[in-house]
Amino acid sequence: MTLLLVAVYLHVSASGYGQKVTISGKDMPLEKVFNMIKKQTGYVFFYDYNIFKGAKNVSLDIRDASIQDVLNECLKEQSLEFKILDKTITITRKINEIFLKPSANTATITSFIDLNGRILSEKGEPIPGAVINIKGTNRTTITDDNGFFSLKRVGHDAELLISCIGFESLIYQLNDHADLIIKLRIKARLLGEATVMVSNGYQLLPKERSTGSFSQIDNELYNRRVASDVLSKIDGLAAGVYFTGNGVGAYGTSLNTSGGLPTFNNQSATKLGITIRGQADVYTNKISLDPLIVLDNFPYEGDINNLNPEMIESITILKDAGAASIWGARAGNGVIIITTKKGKLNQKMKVDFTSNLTIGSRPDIFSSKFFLNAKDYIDVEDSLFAHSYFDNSISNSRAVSPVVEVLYELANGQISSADATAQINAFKKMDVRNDYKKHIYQKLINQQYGITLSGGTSDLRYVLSAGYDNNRTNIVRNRYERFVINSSNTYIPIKNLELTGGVIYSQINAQNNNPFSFGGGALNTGGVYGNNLVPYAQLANSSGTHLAVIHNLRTPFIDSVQQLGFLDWHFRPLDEIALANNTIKQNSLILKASAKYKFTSFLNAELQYQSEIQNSNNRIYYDPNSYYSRDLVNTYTQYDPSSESLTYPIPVGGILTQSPSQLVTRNFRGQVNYNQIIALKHAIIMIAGAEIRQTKTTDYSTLAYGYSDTYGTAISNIDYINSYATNPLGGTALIPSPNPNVIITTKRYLSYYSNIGYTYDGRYTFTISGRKDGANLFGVKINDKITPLWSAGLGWEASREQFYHINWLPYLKLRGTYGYNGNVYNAAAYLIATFNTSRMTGFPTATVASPPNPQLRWERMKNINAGVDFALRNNIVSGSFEVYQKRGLDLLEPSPLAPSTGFSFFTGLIGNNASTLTKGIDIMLNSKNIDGEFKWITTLILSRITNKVLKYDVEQTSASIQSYATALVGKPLFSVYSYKWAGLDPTNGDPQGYLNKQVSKDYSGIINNYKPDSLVYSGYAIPKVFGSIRNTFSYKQFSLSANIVFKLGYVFRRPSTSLNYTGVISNPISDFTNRWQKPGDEKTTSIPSVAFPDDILRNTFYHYSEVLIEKGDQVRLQDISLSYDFGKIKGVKLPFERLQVYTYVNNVGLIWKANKAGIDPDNLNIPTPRSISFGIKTNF
Amino acid sequence: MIKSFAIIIATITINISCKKQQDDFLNVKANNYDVTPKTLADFQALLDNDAIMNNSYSELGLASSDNYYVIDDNYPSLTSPEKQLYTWTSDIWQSQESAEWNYIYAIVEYSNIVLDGIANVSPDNSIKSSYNNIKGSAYFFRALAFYNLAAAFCKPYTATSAKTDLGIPLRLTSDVNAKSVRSSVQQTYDRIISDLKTAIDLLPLTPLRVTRPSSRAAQALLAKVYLSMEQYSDALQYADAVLKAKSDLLDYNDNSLVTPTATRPFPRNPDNNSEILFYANGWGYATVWPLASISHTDTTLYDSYDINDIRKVAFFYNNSDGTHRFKGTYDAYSKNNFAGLATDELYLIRAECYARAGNTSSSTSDLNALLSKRYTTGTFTALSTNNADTALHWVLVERRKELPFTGTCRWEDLRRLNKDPRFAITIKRIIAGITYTLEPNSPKYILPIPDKEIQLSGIQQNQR
Repeated sequence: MTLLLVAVYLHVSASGYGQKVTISGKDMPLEKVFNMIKKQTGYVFFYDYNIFKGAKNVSLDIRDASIQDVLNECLKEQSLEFKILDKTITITRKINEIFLKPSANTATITSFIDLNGRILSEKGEPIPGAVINIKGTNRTTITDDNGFFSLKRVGHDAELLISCIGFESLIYQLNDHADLIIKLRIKARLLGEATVMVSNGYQLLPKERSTGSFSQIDNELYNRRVASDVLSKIDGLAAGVYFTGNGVGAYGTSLNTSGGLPTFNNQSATKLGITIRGQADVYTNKISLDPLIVLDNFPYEGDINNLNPEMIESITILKDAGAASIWGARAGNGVIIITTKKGKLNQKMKVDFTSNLTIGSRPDIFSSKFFLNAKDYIDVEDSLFAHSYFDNSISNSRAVSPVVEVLYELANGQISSADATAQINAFKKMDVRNDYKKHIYQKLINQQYGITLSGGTSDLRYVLSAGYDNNRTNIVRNRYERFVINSSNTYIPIKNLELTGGVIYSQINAQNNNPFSFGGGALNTGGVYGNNLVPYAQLANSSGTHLAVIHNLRTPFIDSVQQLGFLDWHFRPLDEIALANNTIKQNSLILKASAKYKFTSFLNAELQYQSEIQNSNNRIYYDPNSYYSRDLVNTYTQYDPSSESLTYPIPVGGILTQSPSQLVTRNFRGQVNYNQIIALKHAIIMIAGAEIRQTKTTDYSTLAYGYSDTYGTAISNIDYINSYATNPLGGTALIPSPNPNVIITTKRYLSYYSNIGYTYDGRYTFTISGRKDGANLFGVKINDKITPLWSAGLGWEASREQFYHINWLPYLKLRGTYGYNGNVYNAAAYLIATFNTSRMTGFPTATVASPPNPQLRWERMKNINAGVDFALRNNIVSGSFEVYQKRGLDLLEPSPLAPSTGFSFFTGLIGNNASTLTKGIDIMLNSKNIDGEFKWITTLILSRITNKVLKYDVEQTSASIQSYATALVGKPLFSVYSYKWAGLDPTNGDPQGYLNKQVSKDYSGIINNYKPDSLVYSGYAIPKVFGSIRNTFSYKQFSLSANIVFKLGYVFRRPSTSLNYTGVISNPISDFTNRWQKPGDEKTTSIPSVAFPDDILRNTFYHYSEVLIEKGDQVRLQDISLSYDFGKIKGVKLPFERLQVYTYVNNVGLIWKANKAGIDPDNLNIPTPRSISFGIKTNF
Repeated sequence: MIKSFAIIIATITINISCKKQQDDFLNVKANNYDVTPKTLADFQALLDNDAIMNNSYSELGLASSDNYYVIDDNYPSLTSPEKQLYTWTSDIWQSQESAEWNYIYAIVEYSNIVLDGIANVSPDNSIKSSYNNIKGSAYFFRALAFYNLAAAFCKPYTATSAKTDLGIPLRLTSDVNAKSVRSSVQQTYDRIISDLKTAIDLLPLTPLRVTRPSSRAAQALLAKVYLSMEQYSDALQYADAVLKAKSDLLDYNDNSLVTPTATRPFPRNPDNNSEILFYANGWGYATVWPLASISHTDTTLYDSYDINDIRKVAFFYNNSDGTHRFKGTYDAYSKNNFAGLATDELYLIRAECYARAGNTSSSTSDLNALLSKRYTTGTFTALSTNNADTALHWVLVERRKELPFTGTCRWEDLRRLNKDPRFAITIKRIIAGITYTLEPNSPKYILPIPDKEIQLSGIQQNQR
């Protein structure tokens, strides 16, 4: 390695410092005086505690004196001396004169000195882990976390060899200097590595000495995207990490959901929407498919939204067994390590401030395919009316659409045919989407602010950050507000002991007042009954008055009971939005404490504790005027025709529901760290430890009728025992009662782990990692609860070999790992019954939840990873290339049992039977295309993942192809199957398939024929290849970057109209218009004719047929970021160290798509609106 | 270095020595409401789960029966199985699951879990009575479930062919890995009878609540089973045994108990209905739900009630267009069809057995006892005959009128009585001008096994 210039500052004169000190006191210990000086001047002291041994106390009475004078006064009678350098005061013993003078007798005797020193970076930040070797000897030491080192009895003219990974090494001639501050220059970056240390949540590892697959996203890259949550900020930045967030695209991505309120705390298996190196697990609802999220040191169980993106320093993704198996049984899906910002010792306070504003456009509802124009829709209603389809609804007072109401009046002779036509024609001109656009949607406005204060003194480092987000969503009356404060402090009260305490507090306040969702199922048109809107519905008239729409009950019925004194039973959607009061409050508190004691410079032990408490409550208050309250009151209102009186089993008034939940996690860990370099050649880094953790959740709910929001009072004497006749006539029901149960779940884990890395001569690295996990989740025998998982790895830095002479490739490293990760199944192996109370008898009841399986054990993922890291000369091109194989073993699969076992309605038998094989390639390339004043850097991230099912015992049934997660041995885990398509029957537009190799319309036969002559494999349901190309251009203070993302090699089912008229009105889709209507149409359309009466199988066959399969391949311009940096202006003194202003455009648009149907595969419904952000970042 | 190894070794030592603490730490229940059934209380709680054990008995037979009709306008709004059952098509399930098959086998599994589990409990004297009650209940529920399935999915019991006719899978273990195979009809009925006989010996005479089985309920069910097997003397013996001990009949004239004009005429709490021996309900189809607007009562059935017969009011709701719908369920609690056991049915069983045995006076005496509580006080003239055929005819007419929507009695009677040419009838439906017919003894009286069961366990399908 080349030697480069080093800045070494020594014995800088202290004169010229203008700091004045005032001290008076009698018989003060020296340490006290030093502390006073520190307080008054901000200068820090640097000394060995041993120097106070034998030091005398001093009495002082000094005013406005210089530091030098004070120190001179203090030390005049002591055997100590001081030096002032860069606001650091070093106190040392006076060097014994004898050693400084060569002895006359023995010319060969060398004089010795005791060295005290500190290694800093060019920026003055301490460098921990730097190696100091006395040249020509085996004597070596390592700097501590604050960059300090000491060596005793060193030859006065010795040469020190100082090296540290990531920095240029240097040789320093001692020349009698005992107190050193040496600055190292950062080595030109290799591999685009920003930080050379990677964290696995247990330890900081030098990346050069690791063998595993880590993807690190440094602070600069992390801050490139603007987002209000942590994980969105890393979308598209790491190879092998796929964000499933934007709909996978299988048919059935929720077309007409019930329009219920969005749920907040989604407990599904994939709540994060991220997969690392593909999903190797067959889906069962008790297995988390999410990567493990680790916040600094401990798994983070709370809502990821509690974290303020501003408090994050960097993110590391652990992908293979070598990197992740330290996390054992929970690492099967990969691990994401989130590292928060920390303060540094002896660093003056740094203040970072960021602020941004994001504006998103209104959702473009007109581009949704899930809509049918009013004219066609009315034609369908007309035809169904002719088939008496609505008669039953009409006679039962169930809602029918305004058009059906008109048709009914016409049929009964209540209106003339001309009137009817005129009214219907008026409906045909309407479009509910205009009202949606105007009254439901709005522009999104997100504000984000963050401030971070960090710094440190000689015995303290601190960071304090606060963040505030205020988001107005795309939907009227929905808001999201978050406040997060984070503080972490580390003290060194006595030498070798470090105490750290930290707090993260967050508060979320969300309002979900608008029941009209956005995204899948946004446009809830269609449907005869219930919540759906017809395409020609009107939400408000031209003067802005909120209008009633059909909802559950017929208008004539509503009017008739209102005359009896019932409450108004009309449903006015815009009133509902205005009256809604649905808030979610969430508080989260994380407390951290740790103690670390250094036995020697290479051995320390630490104890860590963390508790996490998250409380959330969803409070829904239904105003007395809200439809929900009025409807419930009316439904139960008892009308006595003889006295014409009304009684109210459910009191008139508001209704309040609350569902508080609590999550409490406690972690405790004890760990021993060993880190030493022996004889310069042998570098050992080793940890061993044990940890226990418990996660406990408590959930319950409350319900109050007749609730007054003003007084906070409710009616308590509700009769839940007797049932009441309900309106409209006919039924009886009990009053919905509150669920009194409190649900508590407790998960406990116990783990022992160790990680050892050995590097020989910087060339060969061997790593091994092992972990033993236990949990209370597996029953049967306690022994089965503990499972060992391990990994081993080898690394070879070929470019360091003597024989390596490839000049154009100055850096080349090969590495490989092998090992196991696990996955947890959150249910027991034995027969479990759930207790409850019978409503009918009051007896305790037990319900069987799952059948027993004594053989149940942890899932295992066998990982093999091989990688090459390289850099061309001058880093023109650098990058890494990895291939891997993941074999899912003992995967838990839910076997559907024959219903005669009695378990078909339960989860079925869960067994460790399935296995899968995933193969993949991760490529990351960094290319400096132009390097000069104008810079152009291209970063390519490319991942290819293929997988197949090796073993899966579950019998596939005729219906299983309809799910996109069909597991067929030999085929990908997520594959799309479809029925072979034989075109339309030219005589009547029927869809045709194949059965026994013949063209057939026996839909029942085709659907039940699980054989290739009816069925085709259409392809992957998830992109096989994905990645991004990021181009960054910079010129002077300007920087422009654009990220293009691509997803290739997958298919999706295109949504298409129902083939039954009754299906069309409940689920209208625009391509109904292009259906087959007359012979000859089959030449121009593949959409079959629509039928009455319903033919369910005909419809099913069509929706899962080959003709609706489209290629998902696409390339999109994800975002563009443009920034201007004021901090770089030469020669101009600014009040801040750095000020950056930037603008960022997200979701720019689709560049290319493979399908010819004009469908954006990511946006089958309403596209994610484009947004633009403006922001500043500054520090001073 | 040595120090660090010492610490590592110490850690490992602690690991090993803390085995006990480690086990204790991990032995905590994951969910507070979960339990692995072990104690008698656990088993009783499984059997007291009325949502499973007393609920959702099959209505397949009702939906196929001649109790009701659907008008053309309503027909399209029926669900697929409702349509198939209404028109007796070959493929009832059309790849869909059968809720009744699934639910009833869940009852079988619960019973087996209890029977397998209780085998590990030693029945010492202090717990003898609850132990016997639990064990007897499990046998009773299993028998009831098997009988319910056999009435839908097997050929009617015919002594000459029962050994070769296909029965239902008789699951006698809770082990879900055990393979399901079809038994013979003979084995099916043998198992039902032996389970019930075991239960009779174990169960208390009267239950704490009628959701729990009792010895009398088990005898009543046995009478019903023997009747369906055309073993009339056995049926007589068990019906008689129950009625000797409990002869209660609900007097429809007593307005403190019965409100004939109400939409729910009978006592809401089944324990207050003195006829009920065991409570269960059926569930399934909008075509046969009480008060289902889509379902119109068969006019012949409705017209068969005398004007003084209170059942004409109590059982049927008058639609505005002059048609009727059924409302007279004894399950006034959940408002589903009653599928349990009651004394009225036992009177009819005994009356039929007496008539078939030529004991006309006992037969008419049972009928008179029942009908005097059904007719408006003072309007009923006691029946009397010496002709056994007349007596039998009267009984069968009254069975039709008393139990139209009780369990699947009507369907079971059609299956049984069609074998006798004197009583055989052909049922017809007309939809949009197309006529569907169900001939006596047609293979369509045996429902197909659900497709999922065939696919997963590979058992033999019924041909129809």
